[in-house]
Amino acid sequence: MPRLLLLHFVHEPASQELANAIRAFRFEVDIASTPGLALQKVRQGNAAFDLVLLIGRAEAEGDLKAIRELVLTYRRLNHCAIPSFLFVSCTKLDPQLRLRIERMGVRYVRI
Amino acid sequence: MSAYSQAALIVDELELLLTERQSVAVHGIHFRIVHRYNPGHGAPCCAGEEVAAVYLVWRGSEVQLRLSTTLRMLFDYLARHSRLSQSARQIERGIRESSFYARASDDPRWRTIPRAYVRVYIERIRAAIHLVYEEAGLHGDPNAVLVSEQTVMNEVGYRLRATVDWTHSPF
Repeated sequence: MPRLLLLHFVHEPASQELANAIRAFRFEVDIASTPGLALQKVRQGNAAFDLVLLIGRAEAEGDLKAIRELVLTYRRLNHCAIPSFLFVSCTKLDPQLRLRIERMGVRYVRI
Repeated sequence: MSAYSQAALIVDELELLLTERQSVAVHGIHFRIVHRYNPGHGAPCCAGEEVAAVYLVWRGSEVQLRLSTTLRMLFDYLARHSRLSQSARQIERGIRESSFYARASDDPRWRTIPRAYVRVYIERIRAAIHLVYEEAGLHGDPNAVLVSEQTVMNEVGYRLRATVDWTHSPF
């Protein structure tokens, strides 16, 4: 079963609901409510994730810093076992911001 | 939109990422090698062509590896023999004996690679792969692409663990 780290930049109840829905598709989901908690989980190293799902806000500029930090932490720890990153936004993002997200190796999708 | 239908859309994307990961894990990353000055008759990859460029192909875009003439030749040689782990001595001889590499450059100095240089050039290709990974936003280890395989003696074999396709252009 693929292991997924869900980092929701919006609010806790929504992430719980989404995590439960994703679990129905046979994914093992671990939630981090803040970027700091996500970093902590990654640094602990006891949870090897296949995927990292980031649910962003419309003003994702602030989220970008957290994503970069997460990617860099993974690279520093073990660049052979970096998970795949997916950034999901419910609103339209500035194309420049989108390009910056994709240049970090994070796949972007709007739903 | 309900959480379930939102999750279904997200899971579609997650499955794509998983497939991509599995494909890279099994087959390796994909490269494209461009051969120039194809005479336009006879088989491709014939003597007289130049190894013009090597590209990393990732998520629909091509990013060129910053390789010199010699490194492009070595990369092309390793790509053609990707099922075979070869020592520096074998690589030197393989390139020297090939009519393709003998005419791949106008400069005779670049038509062969002394075996003492092979290890150094392998490291430089890895450095180029690292740079192109950064540029493409791809996370991975260049040592897993250009693999060093230890033999039971102290000889080391080199092998390109990747998929490659070649394109040919007359100019």
